[in-house]
This record gives sequence, structure tokens and C-alpha cells, in this order.
Amino acid sequence: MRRVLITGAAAGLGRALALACRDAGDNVTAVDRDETALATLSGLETLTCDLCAPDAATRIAEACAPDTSLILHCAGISATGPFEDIPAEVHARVLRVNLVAPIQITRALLASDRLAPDATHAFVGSLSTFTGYPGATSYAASKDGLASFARSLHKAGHRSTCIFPGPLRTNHAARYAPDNSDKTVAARMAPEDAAALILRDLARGRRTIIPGAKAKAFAAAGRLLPGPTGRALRKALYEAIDTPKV
Amino acid sequence: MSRRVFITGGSAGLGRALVDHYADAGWSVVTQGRRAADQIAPPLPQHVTYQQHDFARDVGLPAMVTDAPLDLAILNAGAGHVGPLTALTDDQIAELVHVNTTAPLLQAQALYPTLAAAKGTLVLIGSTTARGAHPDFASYAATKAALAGAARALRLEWQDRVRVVIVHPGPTATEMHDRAGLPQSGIRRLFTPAPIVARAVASAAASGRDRRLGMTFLLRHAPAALRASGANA
Repeated sequence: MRRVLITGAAAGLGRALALACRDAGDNVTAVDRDETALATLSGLETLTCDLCAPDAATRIAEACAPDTSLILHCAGISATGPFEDIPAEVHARVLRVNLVAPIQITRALLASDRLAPDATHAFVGSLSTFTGYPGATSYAASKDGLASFARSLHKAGHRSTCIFPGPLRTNHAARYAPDNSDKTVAARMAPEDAAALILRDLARGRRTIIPGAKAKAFAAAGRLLPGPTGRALRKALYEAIDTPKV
Repeated sequence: MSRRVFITGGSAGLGRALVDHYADAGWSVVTQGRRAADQIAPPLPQHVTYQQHDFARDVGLPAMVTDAPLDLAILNAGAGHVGPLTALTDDQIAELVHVNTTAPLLQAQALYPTLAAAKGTLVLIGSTTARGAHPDFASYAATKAALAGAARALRLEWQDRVRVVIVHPGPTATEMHDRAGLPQSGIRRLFTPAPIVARAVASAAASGRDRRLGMTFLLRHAPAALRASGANA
């Protein structure tokens, strides 16, 4: 039986991944700050923990089951709107949760005796690494940092993967997106579908995972035509938000 | 009236070389750094305004850069770390991200009104390690990759108001490497002297274009690096 540790497991992509792993017979330890939402998950171990807490990494490493072979870093927050209008403490929190915490947790796990020798560290980044993300400067920063960390960790001899999802049909997207019309929401990928693609690619040993054809097309556009992609995103994301969503 | 520039980390290394560069060019220079003013050697040029400041604690800015139009801000202060990931404590990881990523972003935010008032330029100092994979300084590289992601997003946001530029220096001959734990070795004689890197930063700031000071730059300036390290040896 495979042992899996998942942060941000109570909602969105983390929840979909936790349930998919459980249904596949894995032994899952689910970490989230939302105790109520965690309690609705059955058949897995849970740990209520806010990643901003000073002892979060230590507690998570202690809660991690021995011989864990997959770590899914899904916990993440965002803040959208004009960079200068988003409160400074919110920018700081985005970097704390999305970048500092996964590095600290990885360090604590590597220093512990909980991981299987060939454990895979998987980090949920963002498609913005390929496209840019005007209107979410600190979020884009945190996710580019995470993608870099995943590359370095792999080169240091620890299997690691970065996942670059596009917009998903989750509360996270609904909270931070400029447009939540029915049409826009319907166009987002269901988190269950993304989870299935991610687990398939992880099983194949992929180091870069972009779930879905549409996200892959956006990533290619961002790489080949950074100028037009950036301008299009500025219009669709940045100019569409007047007041910050935090 | 002379143009105004604000430089962080101006008491040593690349920041100090930038202070000298802009002071020589007749700019009005405001800078901050961790050391006490009387610990700076050689002393800063006469007309430079210096504030001792450690923004591991807070991101405070001198009032003179937040209350009058500012033509240029170069957020250069940063810290390094060399060694395996497990050698860092939680606090060291948090501080590295704070000093290299969070603090410059919050300073950029605080400087926005005065930079916009002058239609000025914001320069972030990244690193060539922002690309690629770096097992010996995974956390440091992540902080600089994050800064690159921020520059890309912010340039699109501020496009008509403040120019955003990021320069990625390669290995530069500064004390940061000693503080970061990089051992002394012959290869360090090739690290580019800070004044040469400062000129490249200034030229990127003037042109408004990002610059990556990669292997070509390192090799082109290798003779000067060897001369400078020979003179210091």
C-alpha cells in the first residue's frame, strides 16, 4: 500500500487528489488548516495545521507516515488585483504559504526518517510560469519560485515534479478570478479530471505535468509568443479587476 | 535638478558599486545597508545619503524616497546560501525568502507612488540561477526565480506608469559569497568585479531592457577579473 502526504487536502485540487488516492487504495495523510472541511473526508488520516504556524513543518513531518512515497504540496493561496492596492501583509502571506512553507516542509521531511528512499516530491505550481500573470504578481512570484525549487531538488537527487494547472473549477479560482459567469466557470477543468491526469503522469514518472490539452496549448503560447500572451492576459485578468480579491 | 536614485544594499558589494557609479554620474543618491555608516570602507561619496537598515526586520524606507518623485530604484539587497537544503533551519529559509523576494516586492509597492510620479524605473536584481536547477543553493535560486516571475507580471501591470527591469548577474566578486558559505577557490578569481556588473545594471536601467549576465559576460570580463583578483591577492 502506497503512503501519500497531501497538503491543502480539504478543498479544490488537493481534495480531489486525496480522494482519488484513497479510492486507488493509498494510505493518505491529509493536511489542511480547515478542520471542518477535513472532517468531511473519510477513510484517511488528517492533520489540522496552518502552514503559517512556526512549527508547521515539524508537525507535518511528525504526522507523515513512515515509508511515505508521494508528497503532494497542494496548499496555496492567491491575491489578485493591482499590485500596489493589495495589502502588503497579503503579499507577504502569499509568499509565506506558497513558497516558504513547501521548502520548509521538504527540508523537515528530508531530515526525518519518514520518506521512502525513492519518494516523489510533487509541487502544485501554476500555468503562469509559462504565461505570466499580471494582476497576481506575488502569486506568480511564489509559483515561479516553487518551480525552480522543484528543479533544484530533483538535481540534488530527490525525485521531484512540478504540476502547472490552468484554471480549475474550484473555490480557489472562484475567489480570485475576475469573471465567474456560468460560461467561464464551465470552461474550467473539474478538479477530479485534473487529479486523474496528474496521478497518471506521476505514475509515468513525468517531471513536468500540465494537465489537459487546453492548459498545454496556453503553456505553448506563453513560451512561443510571450508578448501577445502577456497582453491578452493583461486584458483578461488585470484590467478586469478594479479592487483586490484577497 | 539632478536625477534621483534609491539603491538598497549600498554598503557593500554590487550595491556599493552602484552607489559609486551613480554618484560619479552626478545623480542624487539615497541608499541603505546593514552596516553602521562608520563601518563602510572606503567611506561613501560625500553627497550620498545613507540609512542604516536591516530589512530582515522590516522593509522600512527613508522618507526622502517616499515623499518626492524618484527616477530610479534599484532593489539590490539580498542574501545567499550555499549548502544542502537540510543544512538550513526553518527560520533561515523564511529569512532568505523574506530578504530576497518579499522585502523587495514590498519596497517596490511602497515606492510605487514616487516612481509613478517621475515615470521612473524599477530595477530588480535577480540572478543567473533564476533559470535552471541548482542543487547546492536550491532555496536561493527559488527566491531569485520568484523575483523574475514578479518582474514579468509587474511589467505588464505597470507598463505605462513605471518601467520594470530585472537584471540577472552571474557570479560577482563580492563578500556575499563568503557570507553565503562558498569556499575560497581558484574559480572565484574569475568572478566579475562589482564595478563592471554595476555598469551593466546601469545600462539595463537606462535602456529599460532585462539583461542576463551569463557565461558570455563572465568570459568577456575574465581578464579584468583576473587583474583585479591578482591586485587584491
